[in-house]
Amino acid sequence: MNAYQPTSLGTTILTLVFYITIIGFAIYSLIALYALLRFGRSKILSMTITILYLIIAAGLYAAAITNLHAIRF
Amino acid sequence: MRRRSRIFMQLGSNPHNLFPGQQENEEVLLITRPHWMVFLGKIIFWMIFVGILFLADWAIANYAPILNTEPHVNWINLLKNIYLMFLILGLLILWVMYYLNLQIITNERVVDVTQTSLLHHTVSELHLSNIEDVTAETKGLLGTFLDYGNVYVQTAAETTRFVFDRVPNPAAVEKLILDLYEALPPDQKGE
Repeated sequence: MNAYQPTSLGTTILTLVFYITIIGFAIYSLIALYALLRFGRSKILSMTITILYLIIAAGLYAAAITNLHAIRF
Repeated sequence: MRRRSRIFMQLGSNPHNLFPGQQENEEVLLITRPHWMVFLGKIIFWMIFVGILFLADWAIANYAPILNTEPHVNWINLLKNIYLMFLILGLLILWVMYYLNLQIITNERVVDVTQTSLLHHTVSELHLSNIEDVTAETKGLLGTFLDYGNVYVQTAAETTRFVFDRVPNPAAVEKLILDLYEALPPDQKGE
Protein backbone atom coordinates (compact mmCIF):
# COMPACT_ATOMS: atom_id res chain seq x y z
CA MET A 1 0.00 0.00 0.00
CA ASN A 2 1.40 3.35 -1.03
CA ALA A 3 1.02 5.95 1.67
CA TYR A 4 0.48 9.53 0.54
CA GLN A 5 3.61 11.58 1.03
CA PRO A 6 3.32 15.35 0.78
CA THR A 7 6.04 17.07 -1.26
CA SER A 8 8.76 18.46 0.95
CA LEU A 9 10.12 21.98 0.62
CA GLY A 10 13.48 20.56 -0.44
CA THR A 11 11.92 18.61 -3.30
CA THR A 12 9.99 21.68 -4.44
CA ILE A 13 13.09 23.87 -4.46
CA LEU A 14 15.17 21.22 -6.21
CA THR A 15 12.49 20.65 -8.84
CA LEU A 16 12.16 24.39 -9.41
CA VAL A 17 15.91 24.90 -9.81
CA PHE A 18 16.10 21.88 -12.09
CA TYR A 19 13.36 23.04 -14.41
CA ILE A 20 14.69 26.61 -14.53
CA THR A 21 18.05 25.16 -15.61
CA ILE A 22 16.37 22.95 -18.19
CA ILE A 23 14.37 25.89 -19.56
CA GLY A 24 17.61 27.87 -19.96
CA PHE A 25 19.16 24.89 -21.70
CA ALA A 26 16.17 24.50 -23.99
CA ILE A 27 16.07 28.19 -24.92
CA TYR A 28 19.77 28.26 -25.73
CA SER A 29 19.47 25.03 -27.72
CA LEU A 30 16.55 26.35 -29.74
CA ILE A 31 18.39 29.59 -30.54
CA ALA A 32 21.44 27.63 -31.70
CA LEU A 33 19.35 25.27 -33.81
CA TYR A 34 17.35 28.16 -35.24
CA ALA A 35 20.55 29.97 -36.25
CA LEU A 36 21.84 26.77 -37.83
CA LEU A 37 18.66 26.08 -39.78
CA ARG A 38 18.14 29.72 -40.74
CA PHE A 39 21.66 30.60 -41.88
CA GLY A 40 23.23 27.20 -42.58
CA ARG A 41 24.15 26.75 -46.23
CA SER A 42 23.38 23.03 -46.39
CA LYS A 43 19.87 22.40 -45.10
CA ILE A 44 20.37 18.64 -45.19
CA LEU A 45 23.45 18.87 -42.96
CA SER A 46 21.71 21.34 -40.67
CA MET A 47 18.70 19.08 -40.26
CA THR A 48 20.89 16.03 -39.66
CA ILE A 49 22.77 17.86 -36.92
CA THR A 50 19.50 19.16 -35.46
CA ILE A 51 17.92 15.70 -35.30
CA LEU A 52 21.08 14.17 -33.84
CA TYR A 53 21.31 16.90 -31.23
CA LEU A 54 17.64 16.59 -30.29
CA ILE A 55 17.99 12.82 -29.84
CA ILE A 56 21.05 13.24 -27.59
CA ALA A 57 19.44 16.10 -25.63
CA ALA A 58 16.23 14.11 -25.15
CA GLY A 59 18.20 11.13 -23.88
CA LEU A 60 20.16 13.26 -21.42
CA TYR A 61 16.98 15.00 -20.29
CA ALA A 62 15.29 11.65 -19.64
CA ALA A 63 18.31 10.50 -17.64
CA ALA A 64 18.32 13.76 -15.67
CA ILE A 65 14.61 13.35 -14.85
CA THR A 66 15.29 9.81 -13.62
CA ASN A 67 18.11 11.09 -11.43
CA LEU A 68 15.91 13.91 -10.13
CA HIS A 69 13.16 11.50 -9.13
CA ALA A 70 15.68 9.25 -7.40
CA ILE A 71 16.60 11.99 -4.96
CA ARG A 72 14.81 11.67 -1.62
CA PHE A 73 14.70 14.22 1.16
CA MET B 1 21.58 17.65 -60.78
CA ARG B 2 17.93 18.31 -61.51
CA ARG B 3 16.90 16.06 -58.65
CA ARG B 4 19.42 17.76 -56.36
CA SER B 5 18.00 21.15 -57.30
CA ARG B 6 14.50 19.93 -56.53
CA ILE B 7 15.60 18.70 -53.11
CA PHE B 8 17.20 22.06 -52.36
CA MET B 9 14.11 23.88 -53.54
CA GLN B 10 11.97 21.74 -51.27
CA LEU B 11 14.20 22.57 -48.37
CA GLY B 12 14.00 26.26 -49.12
CA SER B 13 17.54 26.52 -50.36
CA ASN B 14 18.48 26.99 -53.97
CA PRO B 15 22.03 25.85 -54.84
CA HIS B 16 22.27 28.87 -57.14
CA ASN B 17 21.26 31.18 -54.32
CA LEU B 18 23.88 30.61 -51.67
CA PHE B 19 23.76 34.04 -50.08
CA PRO B 20 21.32 36.97 -49.98
CA GLY B 21 21.45 39.15 -53.06
CA GLN B 22 23.11 36.63 -55.36
CA GLN B 23 22.48 37.51 -58.99
CA GLU B 24 21.09 35.07 -61.52
CA ASN B 25 24.30 34.78 -63.55
CA GLU B 26 26.70 35.16 -60.67
CA GLU B 27 29.13 32.28 -60.47
CA VAL B 28 30.38 31.19 -57.07
CA LEU B 29 34.09 30.43 -57.39
CA LEU B 30 35.12 29.78 -53.83
CA ILE B 31 33.42 29.20 -50.52
CA THR B 32 35.82 29.16 -47.62
CA ARG B 33 35.64 29.17 -43.87
CA PRO B 34 38.27 29.13 -41.12
CA HIS B 35 40.73 26.25 -41.30
CA TRP B 36 39.76 23.05 -39.44
CA MET B 37 42.65 23.72 -37.08
CA VAL B 38 40.76 26.74 -35.77
CA PHE B 39 37.83 24.49 -34.93
CA LEU B 40 40.17 21.89 -33.45
CA GLY B 41 41.60 24.56 -31.14
CA LYS B 42 38.11 25.24 -29.84
CA ILE B 43 37.43 21.51 -29.47
CA ILE B 44 40.60 21.14 -27.40
CA PHE B 45 39.34 23.95 -25.15
CA TRP B 46 35.99 22.13 -24.94
CA MET B 47 37.80 18.90 -24.08
CA ILE B 48 39.16 20.57 -20.95
CA PHE B 49 35.60 20.81 -19.69
CA VAL B 50 35.02 17.17 -20.61
CA GLY B 51 38.15 16.37 -18.63
CA ILE B 52 36.65 18.07 -15.58
CA LEU B 53 33.88 15.46 -15.65
CA PHE B 54 36.37 12.60 -15.61
CA LEU B 55 38.50 14.39 -13.03
CA ALA B 56 35.47 14.76 -10.77
CA ASP B 57 34.74 11.04 -11.12
CA TRP B 58 38.33 10.20 -10.29
CA ALA B 59 38.40 12.60 -7.31
CA ILE B 60 35.17 11.19 -5.90
CA ALA B 61 36.39 7.61 -6.26
CA ASN B 62 39.70 8.38 -4.58
CA TYR B 63 38.98 11.10 -2.04
CA ALA B 64 35.26 10.95 -1.31
CA PRO B 65 33.96 7.44 -2.02
CA ILE B 66 31.01 8.12 0.24
CA LEU B 67 29.60 10.27 -2.56
CA ASN B 68 29.27 7.12 -4.66
CA THR B 69 26.81 5.62 -2.21
CA GLU B 70 23.13 6.27 -1.61
CA PRO B 71 21.71 8.89 -1.21
CA HIS B 72 24.61 11.13 -2.39
CA VAL B 73 25.12 9.30 -5.66
CA ASN B 74 21.73 10.51 -6.93
CA TRP B 75 22.82 14.12 -6.45
CA ILE B 76 26.13 13.48 -8.14
CA ASN B 77 24.44 11.76 -11.06
CA LEU B 78 21.99 14.63 -11.46
CA LEU B 79 24.78 17.21 -11.43
CA LYS B 80 26.85 15.20 -13.89
CA ASN B 81 23.85 14.82 -16.17
CA ILE B 82 23.08 18.53 -16.24
CA TYR B 83 26.77 19.30 -16.77
CA LEU B 84 26.83 16.85 -19.68
CA MET B 85 23.78 18.49 -21.23
CA PHE B 86 25.50 21.87 -21.20
CA LEU B 87 28.68 20.29 -22.55
CA ILE B 88 26.77 18.96 -25.54
CA LEU B 89 25.11 22.35 -25.96
CA GLY B 90 28.55 23.98 -25.87
CA LEU B 91 29.76 21.63 -28.60
CA LEU B 92 26.73 22.46 -30.73
CA ILE B 93 27.29 26.20 -30.32
CA LEU B 94 31.01 25.87 -31.16
CA TRP B 95 30.19 23.99 -34.33
CA VAL B 96 27.36 26.32 -35.34
CA MET B 97 29.59 29.36 -34.87
CA TYR B 98 32.32 27.71 -36.93
CA TYR B 99 29.97 26.53 -39.64
CA LEU B 100 28.13 29.82 -40.08
CA ASN B 101 31.28 31.89 -40.59
CA LEU B 102 32.20 31.78 -44.23
CA GLN B 103 33.49 33.84 -47.10
CA ILE B 104 32.24 33.54 -50.65
CA ILE B 105 34.09 34.72 -53.73
CA THR B 106 32.09 35.07 -56.90
CA ASN B 107 32.99 36.41 -60.32
CA GLU B 108 31.44 39.74 -59.26
CA ARG B 109 32.13 40.25 -55.57
CA VAL B 110 33.43 39.05 -52.26
CA VAL B 111 30.88 38.20 -49.58
CA ASP B 112 31.79 37.90 -45.91
CA VAL B 113 29.21 36.09 -43.77
CA THR B 114 30.02 36.56 -40.11
CA GLN B 115 28.23 34.99 -37.16
CA THR B 116 29.51 37.02 -34.22
CA SER B 117 27.14 35.34 -31.78
CA LEU B 118 24.08 33.13 -32.13
CA LEU B 119 21.86 36.15 -32.68
CA HIS B 120 24.34 38.39 -34.48
CA HIS B 121 24.57 37.60 -38.18
CA THR B 122 26.32 39.96 -40.58
CA VAL B 123 26.60 39.72 -44.36
CA SER B 124 29.06 42.17 -45.94
CA GLU B 125 29.56 42.45 -49.66
CA LEU B 126 32.35 44.02 -51.62
CA HIS B 127 32.26 44.45 -55.36
CA LEU B 128 35.48 43.46 -57.07
CA SER B 129 35.77 46.91 -58.65
CA ASN B 130 36.16 48.46 -55.18
CA ILE B 131 39.18 46.38 -54.28
CA GLU B 132 42.36 48.32 -53.79
CA ASP B 133 44.74 45.90 -52.18
CA VAL B 134 44.76 42.24 -51.16
CA THR B 135 47.17 40.87 -48.58
CA ALA B 136 47.69 37.26 -47.53
CA GLU B 137 49.23 36.72 -44.12
CA THR B 138 50.51 33.44 -42.76
CA LYS B 139 51.97 33.46 -39.30
CA GLY B 140 52.78 31.10 -36.49
CA LEU B 141 54.01 27.52 -36.46
CA LEU B 142 50.68 25.89 -37.20
CA GLY B 143 49.72 28.48 -39.78
CA THR B 144 52.97 27.91 -41.65
CA PHE B 145 52.90 24.12 -41.55
CA LEU B 146 49.19 23.67 -42.17
CA ASP B 147 49.03 26.58 -44.61
CA TYR B 148 46.32 28.79 -43.22
CA GLY B 149 46.21 32.48 -42.45
CA ASN B 150 44.39 35.75 -42.87
CA VAL B 151 43.55 37.46 -46.13
CA TYR B 152 42.97 41.21 -45.93
CA VAL B 153 41.01 42.89 -48.70
CA GLN B 154 41.43 46.65 -48.65
CA THR B 155 38.65 48.59 -50.29
CA ALA B 156 38.92 51.84 -52.18
CA ALA B 157 35.74 53.31 -50.79
CA GLU B 158 36.04 52.49 -47.12
CA THR B 159 38.72 52.63 -44.52
CA THR B 160 37.65 49.26 -43.11
CA ARG B 161 38.89 46.15 -44.79
CA PHE B 162 37.56 42.66 -45.27
CA VAL B 163 39.30 40.03 -43.22
CA PHE B 164 39.19 36.37 -44.15
CA ASP B 165 39.97 34.91 -40.78
CA ARG B 166 42.48 32.03 -40.79
CA VAL B 167 41.33 30.50 -44.09
CA PRO B 168 43.14 27.58 -45.73
CA ASN B 169 45.65 28.45 -48.45
CA PRO B 170 45.56 32.26 -48.07
CA ALA B 171 48.00 32.81 -50.96
CA ALA B 172 45.64 31.05 -53.39
CA VAL B 173 42.69 33.07 -52.09
CA GLU B 174 44.66 36.27 -52.56
CA LYS B 175 45.65 35.23 -56.08
CA LEU B 176 42.06 34.34 -56.97
CA ILE B 177 40.78 37.75 -55.85
CA LEU B 178 43.55 39.57 -57.70
CA ASP B 179 42.98 37.50 -60.85
CA LEU B 180 39.29 38.29 -60.73
CA TYR B 181 40.10 41.97 -60.32
CA GLU B 182 42.49 41.86 -63.26
CA ALA B 183 39.82 40.16 -65.36
CA LEU B 184 37.43 43.07 -64.86
CA PRO B 185 36.81 45.35 -67.84
CA PRO B 186 39.06 48.45 -67.61
CA ASP B 187 36.12 50.81 -67.07
CA GLN B 188 35.06 48.85 -63.97
CA LYS B 189 38.41 48.93 -62.23
CA GLY B 190 38.69 51.49 -59.48
CA GLU B 191 42.11 52.68 -60.56
